[in-house]
Amino acid sequence: MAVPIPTTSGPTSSRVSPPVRTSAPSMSGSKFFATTKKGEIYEIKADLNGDDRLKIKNAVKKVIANMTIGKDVSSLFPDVIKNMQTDDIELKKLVYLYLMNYAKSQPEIAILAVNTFVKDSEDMSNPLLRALAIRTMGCIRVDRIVDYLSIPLNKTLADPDPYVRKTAVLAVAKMFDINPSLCEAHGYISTLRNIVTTDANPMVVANAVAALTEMNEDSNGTVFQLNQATLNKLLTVLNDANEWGQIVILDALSKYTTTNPREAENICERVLPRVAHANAAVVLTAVRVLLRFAAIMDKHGMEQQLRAVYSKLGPPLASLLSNEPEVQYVALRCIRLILRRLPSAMTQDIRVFFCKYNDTPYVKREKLDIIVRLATEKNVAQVLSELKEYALEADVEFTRHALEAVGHVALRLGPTAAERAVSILMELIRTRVSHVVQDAIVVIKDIFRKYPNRYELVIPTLCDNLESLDEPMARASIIWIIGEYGERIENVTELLTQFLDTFAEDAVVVQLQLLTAVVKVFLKLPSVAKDLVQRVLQLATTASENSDLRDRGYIYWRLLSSDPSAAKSIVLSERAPISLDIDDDLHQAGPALLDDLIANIGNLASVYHVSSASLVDPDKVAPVVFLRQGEGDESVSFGDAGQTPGEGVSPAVGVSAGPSATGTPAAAPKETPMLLDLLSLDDPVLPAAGSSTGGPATTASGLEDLLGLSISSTPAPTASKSPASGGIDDLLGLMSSNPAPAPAAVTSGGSPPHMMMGSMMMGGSPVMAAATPAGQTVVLQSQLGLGLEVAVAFERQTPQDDGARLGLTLTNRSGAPIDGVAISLGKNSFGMAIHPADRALIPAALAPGQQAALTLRVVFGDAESRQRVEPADQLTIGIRSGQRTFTSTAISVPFERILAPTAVADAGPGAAIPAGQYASMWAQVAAGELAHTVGQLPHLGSVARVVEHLNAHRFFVSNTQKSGNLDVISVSVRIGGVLVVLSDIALHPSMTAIKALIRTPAGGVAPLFASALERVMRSI
Amino acid sequence: MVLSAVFILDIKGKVLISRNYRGDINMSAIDNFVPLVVDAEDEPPPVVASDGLHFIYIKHNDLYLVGITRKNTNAAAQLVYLHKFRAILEDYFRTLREESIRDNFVLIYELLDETMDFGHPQFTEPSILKEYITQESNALDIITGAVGLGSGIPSQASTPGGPRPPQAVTNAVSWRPEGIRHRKNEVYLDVVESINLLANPDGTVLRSEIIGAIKMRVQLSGMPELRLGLNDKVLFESTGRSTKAKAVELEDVKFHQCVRLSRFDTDRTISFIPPDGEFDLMTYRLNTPVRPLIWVESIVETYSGTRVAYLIKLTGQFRRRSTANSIEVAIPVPDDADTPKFRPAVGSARYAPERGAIIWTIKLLPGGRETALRCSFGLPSVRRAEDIAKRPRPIGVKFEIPYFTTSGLQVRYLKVVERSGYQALPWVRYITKNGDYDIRMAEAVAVAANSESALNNAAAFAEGN
Repeated sequence: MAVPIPTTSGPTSSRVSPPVRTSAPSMSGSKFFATTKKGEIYEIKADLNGDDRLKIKNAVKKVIANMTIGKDVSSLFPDVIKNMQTDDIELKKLVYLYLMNYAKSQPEIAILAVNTFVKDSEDMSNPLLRALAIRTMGCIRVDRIVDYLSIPLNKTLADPDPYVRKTAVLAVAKMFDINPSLCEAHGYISTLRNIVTTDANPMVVANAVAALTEMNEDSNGTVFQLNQATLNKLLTVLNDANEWGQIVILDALSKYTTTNPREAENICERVLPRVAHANAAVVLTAVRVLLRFAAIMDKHGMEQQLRAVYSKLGPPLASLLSNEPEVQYVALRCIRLILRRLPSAMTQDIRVFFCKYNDTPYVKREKLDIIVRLATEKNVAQVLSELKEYALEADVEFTRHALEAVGHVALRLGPTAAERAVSILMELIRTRVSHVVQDAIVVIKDIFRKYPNRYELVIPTLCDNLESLDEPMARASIIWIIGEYGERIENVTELLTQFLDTFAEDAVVVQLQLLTAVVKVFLKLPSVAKDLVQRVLQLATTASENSDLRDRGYIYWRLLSSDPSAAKSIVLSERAPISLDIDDDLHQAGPALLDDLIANIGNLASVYHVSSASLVDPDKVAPVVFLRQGEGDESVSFGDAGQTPGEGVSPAVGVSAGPSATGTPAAAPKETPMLLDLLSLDDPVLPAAGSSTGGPATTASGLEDLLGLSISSTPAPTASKSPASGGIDDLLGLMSSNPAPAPAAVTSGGSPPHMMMGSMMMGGSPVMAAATPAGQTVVLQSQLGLGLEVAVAFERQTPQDDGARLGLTLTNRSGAPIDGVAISLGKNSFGMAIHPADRALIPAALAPGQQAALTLRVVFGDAESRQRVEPADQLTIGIRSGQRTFTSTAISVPFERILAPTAVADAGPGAAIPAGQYASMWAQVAAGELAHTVGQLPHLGSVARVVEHLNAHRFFVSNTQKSGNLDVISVSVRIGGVLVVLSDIALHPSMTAIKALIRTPAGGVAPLFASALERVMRSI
Repeated sequence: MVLSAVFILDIKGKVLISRNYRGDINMSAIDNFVPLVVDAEDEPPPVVASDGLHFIYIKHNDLYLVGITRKNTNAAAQLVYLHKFRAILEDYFRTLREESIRDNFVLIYELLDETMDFGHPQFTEPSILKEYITQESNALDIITGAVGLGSGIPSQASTPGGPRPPQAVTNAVSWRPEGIRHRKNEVYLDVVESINLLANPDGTVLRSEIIGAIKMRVQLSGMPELRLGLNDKVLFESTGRSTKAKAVELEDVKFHQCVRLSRFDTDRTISFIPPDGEFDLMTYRLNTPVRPLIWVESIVETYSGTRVAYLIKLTGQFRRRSTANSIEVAIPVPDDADTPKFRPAVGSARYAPERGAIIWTIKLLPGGRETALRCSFGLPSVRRAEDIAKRPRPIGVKFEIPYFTTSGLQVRYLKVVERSGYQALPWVRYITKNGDYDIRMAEAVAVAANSESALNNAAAFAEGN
């Protein structure tokens, strides 16, 4: 049903095609993919250069379609761009779309578009055209175009049409993002401040606030501070702005500081109506503002006004749960924080948090946690019977969480609740649903630990289910119970024997527990369990390959044989009570973190429950510093930036030493989808897992005492100082099947969580893969090369190498011999060629299936051999096979692997430019400066280490110096006898980010250097 | 509050279309999304992090809409934006599926640019967008006749020099263009209350709430000012009105953005300039306990683990003058149920294996009336006790009861004031229907094959009724 778009009329007054509802059957977009034999690009090109407007438009549409599916249509750049000057606004939009995508690849031609932009921005006939020009121009992130941006920007910022102004205002932020100093030089920041106070249009004001807020974040709060006048303006605009504008304004309000309680009250009054908005984000952001200013009223004891605010929060928060599940999730995460601050905010509403069976899993989990949080003595019966229903649902994962929740409620609310919980758990165990029984037993064990000697009556029922237990945690739990109450169980030996029979097949955690349990029972009932203890010690010490188990076996053995009474006092000692609170972690993290999270309600920080400082965009930290360097107060700004990562992680580290975090590794495998959550301190699974390890953990601490006692004769204070944590860690190491990422993250110290992950993931990135021979790129497929496959990669140079090393693998994948093979390098920007002597190494003939892998030296020729190619690092390889020649697909030359062995002409290998000379050269080469920031690096260690690493990669270091609290390393590199790049590399104090200022006399090389530097730094 | 880029992916995580707003991320970063979410075993939360980037996503039909950011952005706002964008696409294409994306690249690029600039959400009102984003769209199904509502909206497509941004985009009234003309000025107002209810088999109501919505269809010319009066308890009390008439406590109300919130906050007046066409003026939620309007009682018996019999009794527990329409009861049966047989006393029943349920439909059920369905099926294998103990899904009920609101909410007046002074007629309808209306199944009772079952007795009783 491909019907062409109705023909446009004359060239002067083109019309756009009518909208869908009135149009004839429209052309299917799929048509744009139709391919013909002759080559699609060729045909499009012909159409683009024709006169037929309709054909041109369709051709551009085809180009866009191809661009979207990932085909490279950059070769059509000039053909598309020349259609930019048209009065058909639809065609213009299409061309702009293309331009935004490819401008970076062809900046020289893109610059030609500037004229059209400027002209369009002055076209007073149509505001859409003016807005389109300024919007698109701002999106083209090419430095030279940004330089011209101020011409249309000046006009459009004062445009009579608000639609144009609201677009221009954001273009200021775009300019600031690329070139802040240019933005400042034109005075746009104060223009925006003016617009906020004077412009009458709500959307323009909102966008100006958005732009200023954003620029403010990137410049450490120097750009935009709310004052009384702007505050009142914003509170007025709040009523008129659209929903997105309201969010922007509320967001800005939430950062306003005042100590005046009247002002706080006024803000609350004006913001309070917003909680009735249909947009959930407006509601959440409004709640953020309200909580902030309510806190100020609280300080001044304005009880009544405070209650007026707080009483109105509950219902709107509850009704956020009738939004889409994704929005519900964010709301629930925030509600948990709010409940921490205002525990009474929604007590009466507990039923809105009851799970619907078709809720998404992540919503169910959040709801469960809130239910536990809201459970009280009053509603505990209702809560527990609800949890019981969940425990019988079909989703196994969910039933487990439900059972854990039963445990939490029991431990949190005290003995009465625990009694109800136990009876519910017993009901569930009687259903004999296997996984329910097992999880219930784990939970019951926790209740036993918290309330000892209360519920022994249920033990016989538990023991009835022994044969159905196959999960290690469940088996370990029941064994712990048996060991603990052995003297009251009639057939205790029989039960333990049953377990001993399958000792060899059990998991280590079960074996450890069984060993301890038998020893406990023996100490209580020596006559009955004598044979058993003999057997278990035998098994543990001789039949196991696990050293912890063997060690523990030996210790018990020696202890029992040397001093039974000491054994009794150690093994049967009173256990420390366990206490669990789902939000304990948040509590421990301290009020500062909670304040921070509440101040971020609705933001990512409040969803992850990690401090906002840990989410600071690392790439944005460094530039700020540089921006302000000239002003001499960088220490202030950097002090902030340098501190933040540390603050971000300290709670995590702090807690991981504490009891609740012991569960982290065990919980890790469950948490894979959300690594960040691992470090989030508010994870309900953690305490549960921690608690389930409680049994073994205590024995472990007993064990440590024991070590002090029997092995060294002195009381060994060092050993007893850290028994709990040490023991637990050991045990956890055994228990978790997965050597969890969390401990690794903790050891890497003071960088924020996501940075750690960055470094962890880096291991698998393609950049690293290139280092291995397997990382060679196939540049000629055997299908195309008539059986010959060619793969190449630049290898890491050895210190002796004068030039570069090219790894080459030739494979004959055909059934026939191949002869007449020759390889040469195509023209390239660096003048590279294969070393004449090495050409002979290339085998001329290959037998079927034969593979030749060799390393060739690459030499650099003189200026004439260098030919500019685009992109500059592109290299193709000429391949001859028999009578045919092929040109390979292009590879990118890894800049860091073709560097010369010295930075000084005629000097020996490893020579660097002397510091003084470097400085004068730096001053001379003013051109081609580029700033490049690399964040999320693995921790760099020390400056010396970085210097060494750079030297080893032939980035020769001339000088290191301190500039403020920054370490700046000056490096230079040469390629083929020519000085190529000078660069000052500043290390961020966190040692996880760098910023390089790059100067080069050789145009086009700076970006290559930048990415090479990034790869080198990442490999440290 | 920004996104760096927005992607639309197919169900396997392949990029269909993307827009890079800020150029501060590598667009290949989306590759991390696939292992993180698409390949994840259970559904990960809608906000996930990897490598310093944050993925904010929603899933819709066979599509993922994903935003990426590297800042501590307003996650709530971005998720709402993605949902609004989804709604806009649905408005343009009617159904939103992978093909609708593939067929409409150019239009989607335009919409992405118009609704978000430099990562900041800008404007998401579909009816206004349609006025000036006029690229042809390819709806999946052929549209016959005029679409939607706004025959009164003047189209700008034919303006010389191309379309212009409607004033509404940047106005304080961003949802209504000027110059609308209708031959007949009418307002339709539907008060729709959905009942969310979860009850145990013994009749205890675990959760019940009323989610109400006032839905409007507005066909009014010009820029009319509307004022809506409800029997709002707070308003009645504050004005000292005698509360003889039943008043409803509207504690938790959410309004369409056209309603002046500050006005409502000060004097409880609901005043607004409405959009043209259909929209939800307000939604409200009442947590009051609701007696189940339609009660479903179930008796489940198993015969030596190979045969199961249900008796389902349905009672209309609402006033006798009313009638429930289009009732559909979904009674869950095990997936491997063998040859289910059923006998409804009224209506019809069918086995829907794709839903794992027997669907019993009844056209009309007058208030106070009771009816029953008996059903039995075999099980191919003997069940262990534990499988039978597993709670099956609850029985879901769908229904509609017209001319009736559970909360008692009433529209007292709707005033329309417009400069030209025309008379407009408001039409008001009330309807109560099901929301998430679930009643849990009774636990199975094991019965020896030849003994007299309670079910038979009960069934006889029900049929005798």
